[in-house]
Amino acid sequence: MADSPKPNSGKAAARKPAPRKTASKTAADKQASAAKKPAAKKTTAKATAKKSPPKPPSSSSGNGHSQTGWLRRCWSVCWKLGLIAAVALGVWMVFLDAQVQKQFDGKKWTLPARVYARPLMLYPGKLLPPQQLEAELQWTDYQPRASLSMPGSYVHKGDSWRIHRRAVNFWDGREDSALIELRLADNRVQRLFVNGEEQPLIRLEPQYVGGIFPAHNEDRELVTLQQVPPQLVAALVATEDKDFFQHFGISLRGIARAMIANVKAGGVVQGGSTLTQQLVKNFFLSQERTLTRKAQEALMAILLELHYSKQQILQAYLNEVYLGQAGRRAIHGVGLAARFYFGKSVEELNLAEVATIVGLVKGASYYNPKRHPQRALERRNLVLELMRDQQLISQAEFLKASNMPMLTADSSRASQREYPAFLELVRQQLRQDYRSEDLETEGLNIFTTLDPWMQHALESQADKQLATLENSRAELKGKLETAAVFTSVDGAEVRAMIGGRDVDFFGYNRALDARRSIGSLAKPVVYLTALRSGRYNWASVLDDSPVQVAGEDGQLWQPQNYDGKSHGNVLMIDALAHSYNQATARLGMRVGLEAVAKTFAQLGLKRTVPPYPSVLLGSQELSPFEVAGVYQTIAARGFQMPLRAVEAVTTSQGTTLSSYAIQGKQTVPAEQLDWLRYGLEQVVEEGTARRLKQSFNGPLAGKTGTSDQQRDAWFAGFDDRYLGVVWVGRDDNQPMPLAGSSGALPIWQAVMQEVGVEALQPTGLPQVAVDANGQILQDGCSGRMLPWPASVQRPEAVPCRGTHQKEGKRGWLDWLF
Amino acid sequence: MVGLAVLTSAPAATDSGKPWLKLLLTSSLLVALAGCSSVAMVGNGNNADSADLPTISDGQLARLDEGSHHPAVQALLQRAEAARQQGNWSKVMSYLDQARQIQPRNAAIYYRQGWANLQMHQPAAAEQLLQRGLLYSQDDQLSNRIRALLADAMEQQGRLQDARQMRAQMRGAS
Repeated sequence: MADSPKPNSGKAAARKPAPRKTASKTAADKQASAAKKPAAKKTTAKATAKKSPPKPPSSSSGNGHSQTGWLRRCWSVCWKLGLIAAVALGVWMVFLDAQVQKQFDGKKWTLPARVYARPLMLYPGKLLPPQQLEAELQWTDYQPRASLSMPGSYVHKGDSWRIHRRAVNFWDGREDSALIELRLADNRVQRLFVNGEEQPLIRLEPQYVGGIFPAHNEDRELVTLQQVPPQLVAALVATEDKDFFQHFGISLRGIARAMIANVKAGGVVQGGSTLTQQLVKNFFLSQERTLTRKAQEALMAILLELHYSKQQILQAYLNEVYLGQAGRRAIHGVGLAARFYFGKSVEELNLAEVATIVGLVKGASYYNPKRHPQRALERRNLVLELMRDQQLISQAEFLKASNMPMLTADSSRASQREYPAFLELVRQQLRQDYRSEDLETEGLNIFTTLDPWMQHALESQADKQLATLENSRAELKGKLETAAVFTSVDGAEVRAMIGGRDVDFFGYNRALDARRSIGSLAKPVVYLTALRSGRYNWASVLDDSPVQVAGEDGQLWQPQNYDGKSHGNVLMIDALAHSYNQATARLGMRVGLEAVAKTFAQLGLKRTVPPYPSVLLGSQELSPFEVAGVYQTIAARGFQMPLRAVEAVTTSQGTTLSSYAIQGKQTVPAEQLDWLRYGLEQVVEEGTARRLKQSFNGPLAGKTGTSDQQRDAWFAGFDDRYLGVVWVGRDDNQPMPLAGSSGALPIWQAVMQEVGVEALQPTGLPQVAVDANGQILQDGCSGRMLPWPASVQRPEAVPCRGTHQKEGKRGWLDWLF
Repeated sequence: MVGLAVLTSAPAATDSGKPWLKLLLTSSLLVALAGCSSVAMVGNGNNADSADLPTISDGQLARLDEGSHHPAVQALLQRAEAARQQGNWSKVMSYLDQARQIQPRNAAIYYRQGWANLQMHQPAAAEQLLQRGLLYSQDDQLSNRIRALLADAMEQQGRLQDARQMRAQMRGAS
């Protein structure tokens, strides 16, 4: 989570003007704005009258005949030119007026969709480590405070947590602000009180995880004038345009003041633009600095003032003004600025914060309080001085505010950063039901399945584990990349996802777009196909000796084992646990490539698997997200579900447009997947993923994968709650000295350690004893216990031989089975 | 500060300006606004009048919140029931799915999700969720209720033979 603010870049930043000087601060006579408006109309009328044609001369003299004719022609030309100019000006005015009203009456801004993580649900019994609760509160901008008078605060004493939750518009309705009291014990919620009464359930405010922006990346949180503290409006007017309430769009006095100041300074040091002109410039016009554009700006400012009240103009200004940059997001409006710089709503701002925000109008990047705190502080105090000088605040208020340190919330904190890989998935999934244009402009609220706690664990652990791998192998320094997807086993909700090592990068998303050879992750599909065929069971004997398969093109395929050795006859369970390639290739060829391809499809793979023998060992290239889809069906006992990132969509007003629930189809009988799961448990118990046993107790299921020449390291595994698929490799697809167990598994392991592992529940499959040759032994014999579904016919059992006869005393396990 | 007081209390007024301009622009605005996009709603906004509420058949669900459950699940089932009584099936499904996420292997919740899907005339989706419920059910009575609904779902998809077999299983199990 080491996210530092990105440099100002992109279109939004580029179109913003360089810091400019404030309008003059000298006192001005106050005139009623109502008196100004008719005056403006008169001015227009006079201007029109001046354009009326002059009367022709009433007489002419002989000598002056030619001169008079020349004058007459001159008049005629001037008159026509004047008329043309008047008509052109009129047409232009009509056009500008249409522009002004059309844009100002309609929807003023395109609002990006705001995307939220899943709300943390609190209920008695919920597993909730206190560090998770604290982190999630801070990621939603809740502050630890001594009292709970303000929403957005919490108090923590021992196991008791009290939270003043803000009002939240959830997809199923609005919930008012609430005082929540929680008691935790043993990392679980013990009791829950809401507004003093014991309650079974409440949700916390969900974390903002990003937006779906149009190309210009403008973001804003709309506010009404009533929400904005009067001091903010006062500071803005005092600093930027003190004649705002008197002028009619342009301020001749302001222009004169600016001109004098500029002449004195010998350059442009002051602008004469009113707030209305600034609004026009930003709202309607491009940033080009030409005389025509300046004239257009002035005309449009006058037109705006003709049609709209000062309140409407001010409200639009407060929402339009550019106030900073957060990565790709351009921060517009005081609502979002309050959130971004101070982690609070605009209503909650104090005087010092108000002055800081107003100070940013002059140059959002130059006076960025996070990057340039001293500059921002000086600017803030100048704003405060102006307020005091104009009697908008008292001397005491001035002293108090100007002596406050420049305190800002970390602008790269979780609540203000974005999760690019997950956002891309959300966008992709929403495109099935919504137009991109609506997602980018309608201000929709998207509630997703992202679990910020798990996402945090994934991001930090991926970074840490890759650094560890690179530290021990100098040749890999800076070359390893990764991608991972974590989902819930039972509902296929996507809980965490990274598309690369730089988790803040918007661009190539390896989780969705990098297709790489899946290596041995294909094996469980081959073994499931075998188990389903009725001809194989975990005790079947496979031949793990060198094998040759002739392809259609006549080429020989001769797979080797990872350790370069052959292992002779092995039980099928051991061939999977130790990931033997030669035994698997033989098995796959016997069950048939088509049957394996069909199983892939039944497990949810949309992409066609080519009928080549090498696919048995995972030569096919799939994205981590596709692999997660296949393993999801395995983990969910044959219930094939699309991996889902979106929970619900509401309009900006909170009306629900869509809510999504679990959907899926049982494509493989649950019992067959339970049978396969035993094999995956053995991978962890004694096979290639046995490293997991160092950290976790109880059964877990998993499979390592390493592609040819160790170009890709994979691990797919699940416990009782979560499935995770992790890929590690290089973007240039070069070999690396890492296998699935050493490259990808450590990330999975570390993530699951952080979020907590819950061991798999027993499948309840009956068990049989088998001997070393895979023969089923009669009841009462001791042997290796393997699961055997009741629906699968058993071969005839052989009597106990040698040491297979059990001792007289029976253990409790014997009674169990 | 006088200006500010006026600012925050005065109603927003629009100066209508020139009537001829207004007339000209109103028509162009109307055309322009007509072309403005609205959010396309797709999918599952299955709302119905309360008159469309299903009748409860014998031995089947009477209310979504019946039975005893984990308090959090119970609270969500109550909300689902309230939404059902308003005929808001989209909300019913949302509350039931929130309950499922708390207890993802609770057969009683899958049973209710399947039931709600049937009311929404989605028998194929109902069948899948009911099968899932059957997989997790530890209770004979609940299993039989699920089978009865499964038979309905199969019938609604025209699979009469499957429905008969499911009902036979019910009799065999009871």
